[in-house]
Amino acid sequence: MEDREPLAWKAEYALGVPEVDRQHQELFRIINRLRQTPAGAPAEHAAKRAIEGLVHYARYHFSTEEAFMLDIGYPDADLQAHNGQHQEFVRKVEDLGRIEHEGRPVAEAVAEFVYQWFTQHIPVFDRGYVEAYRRRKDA
Amino acid sequence: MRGGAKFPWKPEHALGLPDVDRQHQELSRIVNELHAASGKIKGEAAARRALEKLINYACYHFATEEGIFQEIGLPKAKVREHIQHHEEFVRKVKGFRDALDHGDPIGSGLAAFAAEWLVNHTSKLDLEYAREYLKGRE
Repeated sequence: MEDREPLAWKAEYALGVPEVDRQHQELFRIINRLRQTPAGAPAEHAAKRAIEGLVHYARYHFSTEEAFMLDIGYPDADLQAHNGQHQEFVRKVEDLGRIEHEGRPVAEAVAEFVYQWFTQHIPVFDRGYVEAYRRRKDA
Repeated sequence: MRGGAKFPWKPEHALGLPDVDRQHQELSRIVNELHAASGKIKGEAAARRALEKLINYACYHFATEEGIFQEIGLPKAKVREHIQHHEEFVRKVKGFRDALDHGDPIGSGLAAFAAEWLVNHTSKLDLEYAREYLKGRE
C-alpha cells in the first residue's frame, strides 16, 4: 500500500456554514482514502466499492446543498446552474470509475479528479450561495 | 430544535474507530432529521429529502465499512453476513421510498425502525469487526 502525504484541508475552503464545511472536510477524507487504495488486480473490488461510496457521499452532500439553496431562496437560474455542476460531477466520476487508465490505478485517477473539481467548485459555486445567504441575513 | 433529539446517539455506542463513530453519529443525526420531518402536514418534501439522505449516507457508510473488512482481513463468511445485513437495511428503507412514490406518506415508523436497527447493528455486528480492528493495532 502506498504511503502518500495526505492532501490537506485549507482554511480558504471553509465557508462558515458548519454543516457544509463538515461535509467538505469529509470529502477530503474520502479523497485521501482513495489515494491510499492499493493498486493492482486484487484491489480492484476495493477501489470499485470506494468509488461507489464516494458517489453516494457526493449525492448526500449535494442534496444537503440543494436543500440549503432552496431554503435561502437562491435565484432559480443560479440553483439550476449549480445543480448542473453537481450532476456533471457524478457523471464524470462514474465514467472515470469505468474506464481503464493505462498503467494508472483508477482510484488515484478518481481521487485526483475529485480533488481538482472540489478545490475549484467550493470557492466559486459554493461561496456563491453562501454569500447570497449572508446578504439575505443582513438585509 | 425544540427539546433533544428523539433518537440521540449515545457515547456507549462508540466503537473506538473515529471514522466509523463519526459516521454512526451522522447516521443518527439523519434519522432524527427524518423523524422531525415525518408525519407533518405539507412536510413531504422535507421527509423525502431526509429519506434520500438516509439512503445515500447509509450506502456511503457501508462502503467505508467494507473497506475496513478488507483492510483487516475479516473472514469471508463474516463479511458476507455483515453485507447481507447492510443490504437488508437498504432494501427496507428503499421500500419506504417506493411507498412514498405511490402516495403513502412517511410516518414515524421509518425513523423508529432505522434508529433501532442502527443501535442493534452497531452494538453487535459492528462491535465484532471493531474488536478485530483494534486487536490488530495493539
